[in-house]
Amino acid sequence: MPHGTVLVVDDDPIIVALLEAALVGQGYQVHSSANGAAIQAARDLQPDVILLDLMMPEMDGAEVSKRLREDPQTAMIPIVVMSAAERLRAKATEMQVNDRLSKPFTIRDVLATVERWMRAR
Amino acid sequence: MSAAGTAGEGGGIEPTVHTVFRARLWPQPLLSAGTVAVALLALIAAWLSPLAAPTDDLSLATTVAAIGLAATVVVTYQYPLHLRPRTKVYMASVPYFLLAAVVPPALAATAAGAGALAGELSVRRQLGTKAEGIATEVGRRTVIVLCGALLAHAVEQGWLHTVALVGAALVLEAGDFVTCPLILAPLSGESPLHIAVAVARDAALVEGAQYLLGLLGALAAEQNLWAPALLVLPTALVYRALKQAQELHAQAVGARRVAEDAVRVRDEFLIAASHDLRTPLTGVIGYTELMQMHLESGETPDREWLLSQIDALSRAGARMRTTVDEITDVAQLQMGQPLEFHVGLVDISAVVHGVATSMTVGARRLAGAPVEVDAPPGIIVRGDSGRLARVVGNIVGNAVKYSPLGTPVRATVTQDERWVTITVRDQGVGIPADELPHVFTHFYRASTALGIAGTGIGLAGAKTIVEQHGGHIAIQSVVGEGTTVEVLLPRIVETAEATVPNQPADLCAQDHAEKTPAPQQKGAQ
Repeated sequence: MPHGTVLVVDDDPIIVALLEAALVGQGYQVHSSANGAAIQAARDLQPDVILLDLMMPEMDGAEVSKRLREDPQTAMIPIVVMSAAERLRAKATEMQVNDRLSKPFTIRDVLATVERWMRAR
Repeated sequence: MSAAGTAGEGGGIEPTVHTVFRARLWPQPLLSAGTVAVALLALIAAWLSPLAAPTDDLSLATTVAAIGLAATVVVTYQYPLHLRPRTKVYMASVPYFLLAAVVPPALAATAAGAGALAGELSVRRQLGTKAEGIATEVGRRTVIVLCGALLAHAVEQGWLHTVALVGAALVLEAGDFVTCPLILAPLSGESPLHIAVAVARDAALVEGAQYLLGLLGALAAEQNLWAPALLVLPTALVYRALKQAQELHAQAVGARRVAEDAVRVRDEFLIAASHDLRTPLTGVIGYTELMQMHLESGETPDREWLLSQIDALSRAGARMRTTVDEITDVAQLQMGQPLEFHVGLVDISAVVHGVATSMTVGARRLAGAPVEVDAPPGIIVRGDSGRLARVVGNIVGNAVKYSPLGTPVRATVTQDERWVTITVRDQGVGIPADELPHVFTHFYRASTALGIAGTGIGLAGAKTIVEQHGGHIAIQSVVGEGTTVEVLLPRIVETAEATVPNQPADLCAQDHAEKTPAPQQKGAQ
């Protein structure tokens, strides 16, 4: 069983619950957060991977990733940004992120991506 | 004198009147401005010919007029064909007017009138006007030709002549003030005063300059200054053509902008709708895959775990259904079809509790806004339970979605003798005051909603549904402080409930709406 901590940053309960179910089943520790609170959560938890949604009401994924990169405590944590393909193309190119998952994603994609970044750590 | 008053078909009359003009091709009021101008052209030609014929002035006048005419042709033919027809009518009479310089007055007037008629008929044929319309036009032009010939004989030379010309133009033009309201008022249902004002404004704005030109022409002719007098005519035509082209161009630009806006809004809606479907679709695909992986792993199936996954799967499916229902409603309304309601008794308190519970389950996981409910049990309204649940889900969902971390969302249900009121209050991002009137517009989204997923159809759909239930919806908001949405639904009247159990709710909507103060005044916040 793999070990490691994943921080899921998404404001949609369906996505959060799905990712939790999938990742916990694989033996990961999973925490969830949304909006600006994600920055503090990342600092406190020091997760191995952050799964970050692009569209959130208060602070969008681009801003969250920018702040995570600016903070030396969180700058090195791999960020995987999740969104619809057309938004990823438009926005994620300007973001300093390590990987992308386009919605709708498959669980296999998610697990493979998380595992790859866990190993890279 | 005058090339005055070629308008009347032009800008000032209100759109509905225009519609009557164009749609039915009703003859414009007898002796309308355009035809008056043609008659006056004939008159001037007749008056000029005996003076000009014996002198050298004729060749000068003809040369200048020809140059002016050529300039007019060049300028007006720069515009696309659809801008030209009206100009062509007047253009067609100009050669006859020139011809009139060398023939007797009565013949000149007849020729000018006939030229105008030919031009008008050619345009009408191009536009596909029916025979009835053409016949009316022929009759009208004949009257004009006869008037022109008569006046040409009657009028004497000298300053009296000038006064007579100007006076005739004014009197004939004034005819529009009488005939327009008389003919158009019963036709269009607009008040005669309204039409008279529109005609007066049109005359003042559009034709004022032409009257001036006409007057100048008459004065120049009086002083035997033939060249300027003749030049005035093409100038007036050019002025008119430019004016018309400008108006049409502005209309075209406006129409194009509206069309472009509609297309852009529709495109944004499609992207947002696909996003709204994609998130629960991710859930459907994901949970299915999770269960598949679990069952394929060879371990003993965990019944409890599977049930919880199926539960999550069905919740994702339900959300997709809600979105699809909303899109279908919007599409139906856009196509002008009424929504079909399944009317029954709905426990609105239970609906609010149900929505709040589902939101809180989701929200708590994210430490988002909890939903507090204050709804006494057993408040019943008549309506479509599925759609009312969607309305409540939408409003509470908005409140949760646009609220910062941990700030409460409060949903209350109250009733007085007439209304059942659902109030949802949040302390979220709020909506700017100038945008509030638009939030119930389909596809509209507030500037503060940027970056938040949404189709912009929720509140618009909610308003339609509530109003078809005979209710009202109102919103109040302060940026940074929060938003309050109030939904008022008519309370069931006991006797009505017993006698007409399936009466559509909106049948009794009107008198409720009239007796009750607007929901805004009921005061939330």
